[in-house]
Amino acid sequence: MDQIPQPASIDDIENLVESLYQPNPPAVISRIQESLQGLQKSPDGWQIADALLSRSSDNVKFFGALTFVVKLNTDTIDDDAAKLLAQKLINWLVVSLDNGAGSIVIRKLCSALVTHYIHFSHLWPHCIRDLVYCLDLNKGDILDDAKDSAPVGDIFPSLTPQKAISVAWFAAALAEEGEKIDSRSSKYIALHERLVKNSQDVATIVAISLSGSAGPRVQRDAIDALHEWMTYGERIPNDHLTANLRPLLRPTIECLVVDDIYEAAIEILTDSLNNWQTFFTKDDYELLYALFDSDWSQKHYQELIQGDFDFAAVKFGLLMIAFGDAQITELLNPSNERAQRFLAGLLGLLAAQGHLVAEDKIFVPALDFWATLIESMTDDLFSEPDQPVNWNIPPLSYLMQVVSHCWRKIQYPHISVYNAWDSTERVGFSDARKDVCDLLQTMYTLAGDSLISVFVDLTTQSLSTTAWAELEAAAFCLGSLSDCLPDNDSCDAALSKVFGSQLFDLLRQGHSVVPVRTRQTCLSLIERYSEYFVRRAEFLPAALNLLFGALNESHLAGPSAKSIYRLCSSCRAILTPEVGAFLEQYGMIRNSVPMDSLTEERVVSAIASIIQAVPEESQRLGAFQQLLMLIASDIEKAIQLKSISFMLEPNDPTVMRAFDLNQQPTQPVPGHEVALQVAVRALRCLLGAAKGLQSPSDSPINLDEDESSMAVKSSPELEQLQANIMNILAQTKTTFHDSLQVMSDINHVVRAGFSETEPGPFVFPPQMVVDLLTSPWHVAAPTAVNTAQVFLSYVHNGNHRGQMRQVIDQLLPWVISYIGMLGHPSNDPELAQFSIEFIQKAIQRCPDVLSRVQPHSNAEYIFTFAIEMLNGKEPLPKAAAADFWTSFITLKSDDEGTQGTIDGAMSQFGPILAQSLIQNIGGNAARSELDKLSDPLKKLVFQNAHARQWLEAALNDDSFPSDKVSPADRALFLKKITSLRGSRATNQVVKEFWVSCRGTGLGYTS
Amino acid sequence: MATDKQSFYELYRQSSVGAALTDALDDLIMETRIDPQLAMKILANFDRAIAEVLQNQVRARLSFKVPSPAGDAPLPPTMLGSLDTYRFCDEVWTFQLKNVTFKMDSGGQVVSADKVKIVSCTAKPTGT
Repeated sequence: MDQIPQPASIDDIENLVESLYQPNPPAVISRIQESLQGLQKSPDGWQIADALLSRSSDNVKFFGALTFVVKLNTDTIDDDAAKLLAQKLINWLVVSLDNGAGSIVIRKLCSALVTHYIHFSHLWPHCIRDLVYCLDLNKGDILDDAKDSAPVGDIFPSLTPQKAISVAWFAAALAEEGEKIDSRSSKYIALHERLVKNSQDVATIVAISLSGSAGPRVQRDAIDALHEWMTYGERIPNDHLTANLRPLLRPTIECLVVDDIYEAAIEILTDSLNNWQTFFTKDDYELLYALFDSDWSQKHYQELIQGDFDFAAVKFGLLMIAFGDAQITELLNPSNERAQRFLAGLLGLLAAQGHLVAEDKIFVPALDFWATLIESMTDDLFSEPDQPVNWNIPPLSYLMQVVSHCWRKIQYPHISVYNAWDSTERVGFSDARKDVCDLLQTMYTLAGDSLISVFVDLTTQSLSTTAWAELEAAAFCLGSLSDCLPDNDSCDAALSKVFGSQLFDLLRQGHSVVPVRTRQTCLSLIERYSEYFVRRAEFLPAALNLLFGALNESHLAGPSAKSIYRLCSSCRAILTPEVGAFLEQYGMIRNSVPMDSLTEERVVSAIASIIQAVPEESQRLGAFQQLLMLIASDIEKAIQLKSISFMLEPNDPTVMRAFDLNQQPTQPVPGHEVALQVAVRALRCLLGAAKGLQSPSDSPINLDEDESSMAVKSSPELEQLQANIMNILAQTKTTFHDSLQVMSDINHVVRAGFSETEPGPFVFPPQMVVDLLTSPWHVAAPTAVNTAQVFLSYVHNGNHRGQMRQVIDQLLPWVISYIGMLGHPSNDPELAQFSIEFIQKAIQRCPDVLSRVQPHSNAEYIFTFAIEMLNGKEPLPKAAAADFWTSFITLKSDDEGTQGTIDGAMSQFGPILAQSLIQNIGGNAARSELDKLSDPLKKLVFQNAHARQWLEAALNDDSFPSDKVSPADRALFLKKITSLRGSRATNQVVKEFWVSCRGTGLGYTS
Repeated sequence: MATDKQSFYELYRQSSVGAALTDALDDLIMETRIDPQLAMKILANFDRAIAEVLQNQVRARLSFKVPSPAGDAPLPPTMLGSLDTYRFCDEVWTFQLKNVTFKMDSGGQVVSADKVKIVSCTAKPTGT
């Protein structure tokens, strides 16, 4: 593409600037920008800026002013030149104002003046006064005379509105830029002191502007300037500044009633009430109370709650909320009538007309306020528990109205209305419902079980009137409180009103009677109160029948299966006599009811959890055998289908069962594809069964039990079951060896038994797991190695600790063979990471395994591989290698021979490790890796007598990656880390050295 | 409610996403594609954006229960039952809890932990 010719004259530059604003391809615009930036940074930049400001086009003038900003930020000039520059900039401002230049030019010139002030504030410390003086006399070169001028308050009223506005813009930019400058740095203390001194003049010009004599535009810009100064005052607190600004609040509040400046005034007041409440005095709050009592406020309020959600109305609501937040202490005082009256107004905001989020924009912020208020009430009540609590007077009496408003507001609209909403509105509606849940949970702490009764009553009332939206909302709220309830029967009587009502009968009647959403929420209610059904087993059959019946309906199958699982899991001990019926039911529905694989997995999991609770072993294993046979039949089918070469029709029952409902094919499908889906479904069910059979987390653990008693518990039936399961896994693995999904699921099934302490069908003997793991993995080798390292932890922590050496002896060569095939860690970072993690665990558990690795070169290869990982760029393998070395450096053995091997390896690899660490710390590593890399360094320094020598050699090696640190710096670094002797402070020293090595530019963050 | 005028904590720079951003900025500075001042501004923007996103857009919930020995008290006393240590220092609350049960929003598996440390800061760092 053509290059932009270098501009030869100011006219050329002007043309180039103008072309920047013309429609052009992005590449052309980019090149123009590059060319113009080059000019700005060139030594001629000052003259170019000056010349461009004399041109007529606003775009060109703007670019001229911008060039001054760039030059001020990049070039160094002396004080004399700087003084002349200030005069020049003010002159350009005067000229531009006289010529009627556009606001972009005036604002940019103000910005250039502010940049000048930031760099040279000592030359014109009273910048506001000086600027007003020069603008009044229409020239800039009298800047030095300004110190003898009349006070700003005398001169400012005589400025034209345009000049007054430009002063306001300058003042606003001054505070905005000042706020960004570090007030703690000694370099800028004087600047901030001068800014504070200017605040007196700022307050004067804002006060004069707010009087309104110069018109609403001046008023608006003055409020904007005040806003910036208040932000500055909030961020960099100063009593003098606060005292100067505070008198301006009252006139700002009074500006609210002026339509033209309402927006600016309400923004600043809302923002200040949110962020700087101490800025307001008692009198200011009094004035705001009076304002909220006025007719003007009532008009805005009524418009809002009657459904007017335009910008101005919503802003008014937000001001009310911000004021409420600032007055929470007063609002909690029942004897403050005015505060309670205002609180009633805030209550009304929850009941504005219009649908939540799609129309009503004030509900969510108002809800946020009420949540805060309720939290404050709770704090009050718990900090003074002896204080009498009266629920009949405000503010407590308002809380039940809050509940009522929320319940009404979260009711779903008619389906046609809901369908007309866009996705953002639907998500917003759903999020607001969750916010209501949060509020109710907060309120439960205060109101206790009475809140449950409220929603129980609303549920039963809505049931009796068949008001489905109301029923859905009541059930939703009731469900949200389930986590708050104590683990006792205090609410059972109330809940029985719901679960003993006609609710289940109605829900069974289908979507033609009860809308789907209401049924979904009510089914979830059963899941949420599953503990209730443990205590009230009489309601359990009806609930389960309802849930199993709902599996037939695609919209309800998911939530129903979830509820079935929770209910069966919680009530497993009660349901054990019915396990046969459950198995029978599952046997029927799996072929007759179309279910997604997740739904089926949950149902299987639910039944397995009941089986887990069967006390008698032979019955338990017999029941599981039945379940396993059903799953095994799917695996057999999958293996058969895998070998067929023809296509299956979409309406074939096998195809329909294989695919989830939303993935049902419409065209004939190849047999092998169906086979894979059937296999995946079967494995998911097997995984569901494995999870269901896991012991509940609250079951007792016999601490005295040892491995021998565990062995006694095992039985031929159990061993046969384990062999059957492993056979299923092995067959599936062989048949679907190229499917990543199948391999992943197999690994998950194997791991499911690792959390168990009791024998069980999925708690395989270690040798069985070893045999499966060491069989060939065509895909998913990293997953298998990861399973192996989890398996080591299981063997170490569980009942098979005695077999650890045997397990490692078989698995370690297998893992080494993988890293041998890998060549370099970067070829498969995931496999490299899991392998080194496995090896780390193996040598930690059995250090002597190192001396038994054959051939001996394999052991050497492990260390070389771990160094390569440390030198690599992949973050996770690098972290794993750092952990490996941290653990190896501290490795000890009681056996002399093993300790000799460890010492030998350390002597051989210590210098290489030191070099790798120093290369990383010297700049090769990323900042986020430094903490991890510091760990082996600390251990090395603390544990090894040769560490200093190795590190010194590495620091002085020619391959050290940075030329930004001198030999003295390196020596100092070494001295620091060795004297710290591996303490935590090493990390900071490492970070600082890394920054020095990379270059000081990287010290921008800690 | 966060506004443009509010200041934000830098603590999320230590999170995975914050660390990754810092690494990327380091690389850009090393390649002289940006200067450190711009990197500082980007990190300041990150501080604001992540605070706002976590406050306004993250809707995943996680509730936890700390059962008391009696197991039947309402929430605050229940929490006190297994609240091992708490302190409030420099506007930072620290709670150390024992035997906590977590429940995810999605209704998935319940997760138990022997010890949990909660560190929380006020949502508004300055000015109020």
